[in-house]
Amino acid sequence: MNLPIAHFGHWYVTLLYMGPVVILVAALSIQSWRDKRRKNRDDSSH
Amino acid sequence: MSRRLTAAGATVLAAALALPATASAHGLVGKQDLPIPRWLFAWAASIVLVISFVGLAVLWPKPRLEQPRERRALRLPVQLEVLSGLIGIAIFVIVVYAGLAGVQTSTANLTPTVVYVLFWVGIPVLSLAFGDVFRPFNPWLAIGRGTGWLVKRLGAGADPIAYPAWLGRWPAAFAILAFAWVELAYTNKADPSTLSIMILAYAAMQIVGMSVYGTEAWSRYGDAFGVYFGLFARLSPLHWERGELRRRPPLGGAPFLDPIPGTVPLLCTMIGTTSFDGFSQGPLWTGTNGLGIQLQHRFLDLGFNAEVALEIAFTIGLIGVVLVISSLYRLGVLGMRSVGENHQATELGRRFVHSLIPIALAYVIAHYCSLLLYQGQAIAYLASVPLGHGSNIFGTADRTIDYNVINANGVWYVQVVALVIGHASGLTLAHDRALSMYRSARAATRSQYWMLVVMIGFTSLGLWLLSAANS
Repeated sequence: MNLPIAHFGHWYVTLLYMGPVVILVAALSIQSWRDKRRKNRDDSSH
Repeated sequence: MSRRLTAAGATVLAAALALPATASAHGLVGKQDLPIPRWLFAWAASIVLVISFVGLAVLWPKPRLEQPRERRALRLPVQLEVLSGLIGIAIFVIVVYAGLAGVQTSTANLTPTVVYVLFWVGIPVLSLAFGDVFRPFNPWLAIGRGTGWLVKRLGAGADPIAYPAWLGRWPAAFAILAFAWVELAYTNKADPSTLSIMILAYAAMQIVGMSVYGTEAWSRYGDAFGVYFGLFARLSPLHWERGELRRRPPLGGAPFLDPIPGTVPLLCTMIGTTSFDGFSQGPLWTGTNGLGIQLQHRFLDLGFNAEVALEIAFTIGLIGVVLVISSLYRLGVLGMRSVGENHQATELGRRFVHSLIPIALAYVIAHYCSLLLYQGQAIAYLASVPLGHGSNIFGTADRTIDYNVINANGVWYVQVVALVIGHASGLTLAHDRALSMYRSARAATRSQYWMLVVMIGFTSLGLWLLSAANS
């Protein structure tokens, strides 16, 4: 059986097409996490 | 909620991008010689979409497309409607007759080229430029209207039944899926006589539908092709209505799409079937260990013959890709819901569905532009020899297809530009709708973050589908 990594040269380009989506999802997730943290901090200070 | 959404998004996008590797070249000629790798175009397109999104957030603070802004440009005589209907019926008769009586070779007979190239691909492009050009030439609508007029004059016939609200655009969604199945999965799809019989069966169903529910109601919601072309026509700056030609802003008809049941499935089907066309021609489907081949073997092992096994495999693939596209849209909607203001997912899904229209058209143009530009030229000689033998009606029987009309690089640039403009238009429509639904411009912009992810996902998917065509 061949490991998937053995065919990396065939499918890595696919990952490059996914790049913009991955970056955007990561940015939105971080922003969402920061918003939640700020909200929690505000709630605890009141 | 956000974490669940992120995980679900990653799964669906991974599934979407892990499926196809190449797209249909559809008559593409020559090798691309691009200055940068093709995947960089996906990054460039994504950057353009992000900039468009920021530009909309800053420069478009109030809804502009929600109010009708149409001006009458021209009044059209009633006779023109009758004349165009008669022309539509004449073309219909010629195409059906050519399929039944002509040679049964798909490339030599008029019918397959008219159906798969001029009708399926050409009319959407014309609809974008000139509005709903199909409606006045729609042969079954012309027959229905003519029959209705005659019945009224004779004082016979009963009033039609009210079109059921729950039925909505479901008949159109199923019929478009069925047409796509014929085009992509049915092994006998290019046989001229089979095509003619299917055209006659479809026309008969339309006439039955119009006689039961009334000509106008059925043609607006039940006639799949009337609905399909009518959706694209909503993006056009021209609007033909009640004997008038009106002008409006580009995209101006889309916000007035009534989001009745079946509209979301119809648009997801339109995008999904085009995507599957690309997917089904890539090595991950057709390769030695491709999904399509593996599925086909499974059904061969179950005792089906090769033809049926192939059709079942393609049917599963077609429905699977439609479901992936539907899931991507659903993700955008769930993301919008996470902004708050208590909008229900179903409501959001329906109210933003018009933003999928330019994407569906972009996919059609990107995927089939080479087919239209090359195979579309075949009409020059097929019109002279519609049956495939013996005639030279217009003296153009010896014409050939000029493959220098556009090169492989030109086709790629058309595809990239179509996808970027289509998705930027989708973002614009969604942003405008969000401004009219949310309490502040800030909330409206925040609601569209996940829609931006979906748009970039669709763009990357589209470019990826197309990219391997020349690799």
